[in-house]
Amino acid sequence: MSPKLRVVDAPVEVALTEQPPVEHVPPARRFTRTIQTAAALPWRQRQMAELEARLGAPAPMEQLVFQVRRTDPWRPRAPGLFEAEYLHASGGAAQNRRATSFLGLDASRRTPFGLSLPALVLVGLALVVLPAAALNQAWSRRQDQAEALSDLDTRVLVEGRRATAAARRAEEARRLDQLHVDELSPGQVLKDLDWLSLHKRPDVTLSAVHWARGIAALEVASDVSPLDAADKPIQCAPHPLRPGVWLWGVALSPGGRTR
Amino acid sequence: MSETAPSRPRPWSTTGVVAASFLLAAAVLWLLVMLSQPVGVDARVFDLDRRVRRIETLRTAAPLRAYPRGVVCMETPIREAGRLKSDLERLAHQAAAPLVQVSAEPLLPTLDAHLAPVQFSLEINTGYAGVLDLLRRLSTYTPAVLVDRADIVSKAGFVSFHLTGRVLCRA
Repeated sequence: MSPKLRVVDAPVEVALTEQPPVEHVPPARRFTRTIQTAAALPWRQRQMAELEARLGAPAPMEQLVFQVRRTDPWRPRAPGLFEAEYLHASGGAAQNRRATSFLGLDASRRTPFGLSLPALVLVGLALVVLPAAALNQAWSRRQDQAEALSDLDTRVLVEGRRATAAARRAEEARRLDQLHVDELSPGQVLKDLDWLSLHKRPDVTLSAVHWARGIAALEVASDVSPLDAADKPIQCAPHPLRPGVWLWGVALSPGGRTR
Repeated sequence: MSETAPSRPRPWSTTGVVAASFLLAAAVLWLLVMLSQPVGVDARVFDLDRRVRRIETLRTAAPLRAYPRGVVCMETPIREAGRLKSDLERLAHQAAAPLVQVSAEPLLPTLDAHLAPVQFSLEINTGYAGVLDLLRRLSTYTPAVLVDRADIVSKAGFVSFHLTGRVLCRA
């Protein structure tokens, strides 16, 4: 950081419109100086530049006002370049006002963070409007999500009931399959009785027919087969059921429905 | 003159202001994220996920064969037993078959059973045509009648028909 000071121009005359002209004011002098700082974060570089500007001031600080201005944009891992600008103002309060006006540092007009009043108003508005908008959007999103969750909950409830009923029907169907309900129906009994009537030998009288799960037991007063069908297995009991009565068994379905 | 000196110590440090700004921004962001979600959304989504998984599991149990409605009775077994008994009496009357005995009572289902049987027994004295007529009427009865045993015994001038079977109710 080389403290090369140079006089920028001749004494500066600053017009003050809000203050009455002051007599016998010595002319103010303006200096500039280039300051280079080490690579650092931007605010740290500015702090260092200000310190350097104060250290290398061309006159006692009570006679100076100065400002530090960045001349190159900040880049990471690159030194910072600043220009310090001094105004030597040793002419009393009026001169000070001139100097501060010149540098734009009038204490009476300074605002927080060095922002102008319109900028401050804009920032304030932004600080109010943006969070309010974000809050509104967040609340709206919350309502949407709650509504979507509620809809989904209803759908899951309905589909759950439907799926439960379907599963129950499936389980019932599986049990009914296991029971072979068709083969145990009265219609099947009718078919088997029809078949027996059709294939009964005309000279035979059946004294009883016992049907159970696809197997028929016929009580016949003869040891000769009462049926003339050869497509179903017929078997006679080894001994008469009663004297003169024989029991014949016939499987009306293949192997009989023994379940 | 000191009121114009920019080197006056600031009441805050730049680092502190920046750090506070970041913290404030993070807090506001977190607050907005929290506000944008309904209360207990994670638990509700977890619960929905569990229920949907159960639905998916239930849907895998598709029936091999669809039975018509009414195959299984919708009543409780006790109520169905009473109804069945009166229906059998009515059917026997319609078939012009004098009733000897009729009974219907629910059986205890097994623990894993989805179907609770109601067992019935019917005995009539009629002609062979009456037996066939009764069987035809029973074949269209709902719930479906399962015949376990049918005995037709020829008597003098009539036949004795003894039928035992079941109807099935939901357990």
